[in-house]
Formats: sequence, C-alpha cells, structure tokens
Amino acid sequence: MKEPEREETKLREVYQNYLRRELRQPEIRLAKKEFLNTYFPKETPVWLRPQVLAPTLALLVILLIITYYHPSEIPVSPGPELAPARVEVRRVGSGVGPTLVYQKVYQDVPVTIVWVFTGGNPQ
Amino acid sequence: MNSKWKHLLAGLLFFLLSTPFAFSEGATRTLVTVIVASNQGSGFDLDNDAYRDELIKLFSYPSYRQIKAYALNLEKGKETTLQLPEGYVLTLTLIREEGEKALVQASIRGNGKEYLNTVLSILKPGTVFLGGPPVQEGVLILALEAGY
Amino acid sequence: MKGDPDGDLVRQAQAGSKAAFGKLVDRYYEMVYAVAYGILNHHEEARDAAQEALLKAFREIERFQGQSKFKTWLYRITVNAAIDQIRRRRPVEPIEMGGGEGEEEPRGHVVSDRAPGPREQASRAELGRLIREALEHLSPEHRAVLILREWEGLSYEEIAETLGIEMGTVMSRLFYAKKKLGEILGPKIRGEGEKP
Repeated sequence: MKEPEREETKLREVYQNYLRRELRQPEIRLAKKEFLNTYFPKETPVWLRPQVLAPTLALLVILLIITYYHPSEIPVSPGPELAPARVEVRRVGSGVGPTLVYQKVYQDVPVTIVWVFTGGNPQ
Repeated sequence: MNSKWKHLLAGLLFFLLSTPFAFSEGATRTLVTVIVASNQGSGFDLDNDAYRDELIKLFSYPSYRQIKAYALNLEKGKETTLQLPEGYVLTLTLIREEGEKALVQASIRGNGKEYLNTVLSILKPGTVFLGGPPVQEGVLILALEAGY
Repeated sequence: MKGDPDGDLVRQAQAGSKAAFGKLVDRYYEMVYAVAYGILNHHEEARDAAQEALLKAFREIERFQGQSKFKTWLYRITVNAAIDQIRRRRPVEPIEMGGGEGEEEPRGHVVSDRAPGPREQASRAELGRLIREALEHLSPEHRAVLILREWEGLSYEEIAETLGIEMGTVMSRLFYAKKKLGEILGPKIRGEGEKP
C-alpha cells in the first residue's frame, strides 16, 4: 500500500474510533428513550386500557360474587332451586284476628305455616 | 328426601303401626302433634326429635312442649275431631283426594270462636304448621302431617 | 416503496399509526444522532437536531412518495436539520449547500467560536481533542459528506442523492475534508499513533 493510502486508512480509523467513542455515551440512549416516551409512547394493549380493564374487572368481581356468595337466609317465597311447596293454602280465615300464611325453608324444603294473631290473650 | 324428613317418616310409621286404625282406601293417614310453645323456660319436650330443629328454625319461642300426638286416618267427607288443651278443638275433614294431593279442611275452635279455618291442598306427604291460639303457657302449635 | 425494508412501517405511519413511526424512530435514532453529531460536532446540539429531524419526518411522512428509500429520505432531513442548527447558531454567516464540480475550497465555511462543553472537556484523549479541532476547520457541508461516507458507509451516488448534489461534488468535498484532517492530525498520527 502506498504511503498516502496508508495515511488515509489510518485517518479513517482515527475518525471512526473517535466517533465510536463519542456515540456510545449513555446520554444518547437516554435521550432516545426520553424522545420516544414523550412523542411516541408505546400503546397500551387494548385489553389493558383503563376503558376496557376497569369494566372487565368489575364484571369479573360481580361474577365471582354471584358464583360464590350464598345468602344465609332464603326468602320466604322459595326460589326455583328449592323443592316445590308441598302444601298449598286454598283458603284461610279467622274470627278472632288476622291470619298469616307464610313459608320458611327448612333444610331446603319449604314449610307452610298458617298463623292466627290473637294478641296473646288466652281464652 | 333429607335425613330429618326420614326421621319424621320413621316416627310416623311407628305411630301408625301402633294405632288400631287400619289403612283404607279413600283415606289419608295424618299425624297431628299438639305443641305448646312458650316464652317461659327453655327446652324441648317432644317425642319426635325431628321437630326440634324445625321449630327452632320456624318459630322464635325458647320452649316447646308436646302435649299429645294423634295418628289419624282421615276419610273422605268425614270430620275428625281432636280435643286440644284448654278447651280448643281441632276438626279435620278430608274434602277429597286429587291424585297425589289431599284436600283437607282444618279448623281450630275454642270458647265459641273460630280461631282458624283453612283449606289445605297437601301434596302427600306434606306438613303444615297451624298456630296462634293462646294458652296459659304460651300458644298452641299444631304440626299436621298428611299422607304418611 | 418496493425493496424498502421500512416500507411496511412507513405505510402504517402514513395511515396514521404513531406506533409505527415510533418503531422507525427506534430503528434510526442512533443513525440520525450520528449524522447530526458528525455535522455539528456538539452533543447537545446534535440531540436537538436529531429530535427536530425525526419530528419533521413524522410531520411530513405523508409526503414521502417512496422514490428513494426511507433511510435516504431521513438522511436528507437530518443533514438539513443539522445545517439549520448551525444557522441558528450563527445567523449572519451564509451557508452554501450546493456547488459545482471541482470545488475545493469551501466558501463561507463556519468556524465554531464555541468553547467545548463541559462534557467534551471531561476525559477526552489528546487525539480526540485534535480531531474535534480539526473537524471545526471543516464546513458543515464537508462534515456531512465525511460522516455519510466514512461512518454511515454510503456510496458516492447515495451521498449525492441524499445531499442533492452532483457526485463529483461529493468526491471533491470528501477529498478536501480528508486533506484538511490529514494536515492537522497527520503529525499526531505519524508520531504517536491512534490510541483507541
């Protein structure tokens, strides 16, 4: 290789090494990150966006409650999951006071009660 | 059928087998248990232990005492009368049977008054509690079990 | 945009996808910065110029027709942004961009009158200082061909297309730049050798 060519090669090497040193500084990486975060932030996946995530979580909570919550008191009127009432009160009346017909569930079986309210005074 | 009802059935069968009544067609075997519920004292004095939990669950009285238990064979169109404590009378009439159901009229009278008069359609076997007429200790509760 | 490796992302960006352009930024930030630094010879200005170049590319992405590769188009925007930065630095001194063939001596070249920043002052080898000083003797136009040729590895043709000049002008500017650097750095290189 001729001398001028050698020197040119050396010069190229010097220049490139200089740039390599200058351009590997951590500030450049930080500047890039800052620029991207400021102007081109990464899009949150649709399923992670608050508009989707919040109602989805709320629905999940509701479903969990419905699935696992068992109320301690079953209403007087038995739900469809209970055994059908075995007693039907066709008629009720009293000459001494108001009457009440109600059902309470005992061991998943609705039990019928016919009650007359007399004020508690014995005859 | 849950275990409590199994116990109840066993108790009923015992009563029925020990009675002089014979099973006849057009009749509904019925068990009537007369109970006095009271706010005085506490405890359960019942032949049929199956009632204990039911009564606790269904009523708020602390004390229950069985007065008497009757095993009946209700016949269609015929009245059956039972004497209850303190002059009360229970009258049961099997109006008719509708397949598996028994249509029963029940009335509780006392002191010239009709305390309760009701018509019940009972899917055999079925239980209904009639209650409210006052007695010295508390109130009367009648457990009516038809179709056993 | 046939044969352009960035074709898909560019199309998405042109359709309005900020995320797609963000990916292009991620891909070319270092390149843009390097070209800007090669021309400006100053890190903070290079950062500003790089940012300006990328934002301008984003704003004008719809106008990109695909006649050149996206990378080439970005090079041009970056060189122009760096030159603009120099104009802001010294508004009076005219900057010549074009030139005929055979041009050897630049006209109106800018000599930086800024002192090196604190970052530049800290822990630089002697050779590094010399290189920086030597580069200051070159005009932005000469520094542009130098960085595009010796660092980015573009061909004369690509440099000509990027800068919008004749290929002969590219070659003459490159010759002059190397000659100038050689005059300043040669004794150091011949004497002590490059210390990486």
